Parts: sequence; structure tokens; C-alpha cells
Amino acid sequence: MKDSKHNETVVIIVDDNEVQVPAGISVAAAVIGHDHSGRTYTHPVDGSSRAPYCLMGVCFECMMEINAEPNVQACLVTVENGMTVKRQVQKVEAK
Amino acid sequence: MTPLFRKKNSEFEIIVAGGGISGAAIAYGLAASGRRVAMIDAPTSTNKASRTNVGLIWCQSKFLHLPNYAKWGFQSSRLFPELIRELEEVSNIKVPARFSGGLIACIGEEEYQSRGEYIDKLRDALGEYRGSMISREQLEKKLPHISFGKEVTGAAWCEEDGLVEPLVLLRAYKVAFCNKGGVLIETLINEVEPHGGGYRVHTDRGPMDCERVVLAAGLANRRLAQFAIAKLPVLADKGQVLLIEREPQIMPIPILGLTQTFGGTIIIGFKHEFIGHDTRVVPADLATEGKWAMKIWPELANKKLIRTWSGLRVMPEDKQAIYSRLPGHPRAILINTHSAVTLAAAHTKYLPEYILDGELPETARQMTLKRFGYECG
Repeated sequence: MKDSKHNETVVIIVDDNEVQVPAGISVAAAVIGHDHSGRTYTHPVDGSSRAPYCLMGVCFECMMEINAEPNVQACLVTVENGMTVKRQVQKVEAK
Repeated sequence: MTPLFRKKNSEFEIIVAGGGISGAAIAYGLAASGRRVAMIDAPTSTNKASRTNVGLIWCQSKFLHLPNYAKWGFQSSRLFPELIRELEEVSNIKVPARFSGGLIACIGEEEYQSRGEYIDKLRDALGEYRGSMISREQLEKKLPHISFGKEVTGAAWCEEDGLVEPLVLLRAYKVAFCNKGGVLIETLINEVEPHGGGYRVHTDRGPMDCERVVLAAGLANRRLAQFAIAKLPVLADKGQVLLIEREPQIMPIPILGLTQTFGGTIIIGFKHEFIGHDTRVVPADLATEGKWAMKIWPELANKKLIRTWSGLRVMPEDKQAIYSRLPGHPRAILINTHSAVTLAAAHTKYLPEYILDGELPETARQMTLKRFGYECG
């Protein structure tokens, strides 16, 4: 992680909105620091609302679509300029 | 020591050594019949087969050479719905269970043929068998959300298999045990020895005495049974599994080695390795299992692997369960089985009577240590 005293920021696109966030933080931290309507993910079995929890790669509650790849653990990815992030709030149905 | 044990060496009618599914199934059965029982479970750093498995209730396609053991599994499976109802009522815990039947997917014609022949022989040996080989088309109808690989030729189907959430089953057993007056003690047992006509169980929390002792500690039975048997014929059988990310419920019926849990994750694994107490997770071994699973269900290649782990199953040398009084010790009873989940319902219903000087049910009567050459009741 970069030293925050430099106050560097990057711009990422969360659900089609550009947001400016500190450089070096995780996508999960970036999204929960902004408007996220109380959830970032919908549990595919019981439909409950979920959000980043452990922030260290263990709980799998922070799944988001990052640069068009679905089901990425957002706590393990560092924000980059121009990154597109989508919350996965629609319940996935069995195909 | 806690106040419970302060007055004297705590005295129980029966101590069950081991708090896995086997120990809990028996301890609950004994407590439900009004006995004064303590169940002693070791801290979680020890090997715990009951906490590493997927929870299959599995009867089909096995033990042609031991027909009574095969029947014993079917008997238990038929008792399972009743057990779950009872545990839910006594524990007030909902236990996810699915009496859905089970499948063994076949890759290639040869496997399909040989599994079919095995089932025919098993049907003859058992006199009854509620299952059969099914074609690929029939398999696709049973699991319509799965696109099977081109090498899949069909499956072995049995309506008496199923799935239970094993961690919840274990918890429900323990809560039901306590609700029936049982005493659950978490500590490590170092040794069991005959003492004053009964048994003294030496633990990290001091000695505890009982009239009867039940050794249901899985692999640790080899250590705890030392007062009667120098070398118990029970082996560590290593398994390694892969856990795939959560999906909507798309597998209403489990496939052996490829099972969707009640939480939506998918567990892959089938290996049996007899290499002692080795719990290393070996990537090359996991790759073998993953490649097999992708032959069955190629779309798994696009799913994320979220965890892997290993566990040590408890395997009697001839694979059959051991229910036995120990040589020279009619009030020390040992249980060791690889199939603690499948057989749980039979254990709860039938083993308490055996522990209290009764007989084993006829199907299980040959499952004592006598078959290994020991003199025992």
C-alpha cells in the first residue's frame, strides 16, 4: 500500500459512477467508503444482502465484478485508475 | 478445574470418550434413555474427521464382500428421517438434510459396464436393492442444470443415498445430548485405565471415573484402548478436497466425489491414502481430483476454487465398522467406523442397548473385534 501522506488518488467507476478514492486501497475498501446502498452482493442461495466483511480474503462476502470479471474478491484487488467495478446485487438464478 | 469437578473425582455412569459424530450419536442415545452420561471432546487442534467431511449418507455400490455391512448402511439410511425429526425437536436446531438419492457418474463405457455388474451382484447378495444404472439421458433429467462432459456415459443411481449438513448434525446431537441431561466436557484425554471395578479417565482437567467407558475417539482410540489392546487395527485414511465457490442450488442430488453443500459451495474429492498421519495438502493430488470433476462437469473450469483442505478418515483395516467390548473388559466398549455420518441413525438407535450389556442387532453381530482374533464379548 502506498503511503497516504502523499494524498494520491485514483478514479474508478463504481456502478457507472466515477468516484475518486485514495490510491493503494482495496476495491472493497473503496466501495464501502462510498454509496453502496447497504450491500455489494446478493447471496446466490438464500438471496440475503452481503457486504465486505473480513477484508482479508477469507469470507468471500465481497464478491464484485471487476473489469468485467464476475465473482472477484474485492478485498484482494488494489484500485487502479479507470477500473470498472460493479456490485453484484442481482440474485443469480440457476441456469 | 471447574466447580463441577471440585468435590471428588467426578463420577458418571458412562463416559463417552470422543465428541465427533460417532461419539455424539451414542452419547445422545444413552442420555435419551435416561443414563447419566458425560461426553468428553478434545480441543479443536486434534484430528477431527467429523469436521472435514461433506456429509453424504451413502449406501450404494459398496461392500459386496460384506453384505451385512452393506445392509447396515441401508438400515441406517432408512432411520435417518426419523432421527432428524427427533434431533430437531430435542435440540430446536434445524438440520439440513436431503433424502434425494445419490449418483455415481460414469466416465466411458467400461466404467458404466463394471459398475452395472457390481450392482447386479450386490442386488443378488442383498436380496433387495433400490437402485440401478441409469443412462446419460436419465442422468440429465435428474440434474437438468448440469451440462455433463462428453465422456459421461450414465450413472449408478440409488434412491436410498442422501446428504446431511454434517456440522449442523454434530451440533444438534450435542445440544440434544445436553438437553437430555448429558454433560459435555471439552478437554484432552490422556489415558484410560481400569479402576475400582470401573474406569478412570485421565484428562487435562483431572481424573474422571465411570462405571462404563465408550471409546469413540476415532484414530485416538488406538491410544485410549492401550489398557486392553496394544495395536488396534485402525488406520488413518487421508482425503484431500477442493471447495468451489458458491452457486445457486443446482445439484439437488449429490454425485459421489462432487457434491453441492447446503451453503451452495461445491466439494470435490475422492482420494483415499494410507500414509499415516500426514495432513499435507498436495497440489498435484488436488489437480487429479479437479481434472476428474471437469470431465464430469466441464463448466467447473470457469468456477473459482476458494479453498482446499485435507482430513484423516478413520478406517478399520478391513473397512468394516468395529463395535466391540474390549478383550477382558465387558464394560469398556469401542466403536470405530469410516461411516460415522451414514451410520449415525443406526448408532443412536441400537448401540446404547449393546453398551448396557445387550446384544448387537443381528446385522451388526459379526462386527466385534473377534474377527481380528481377539477374545471379547
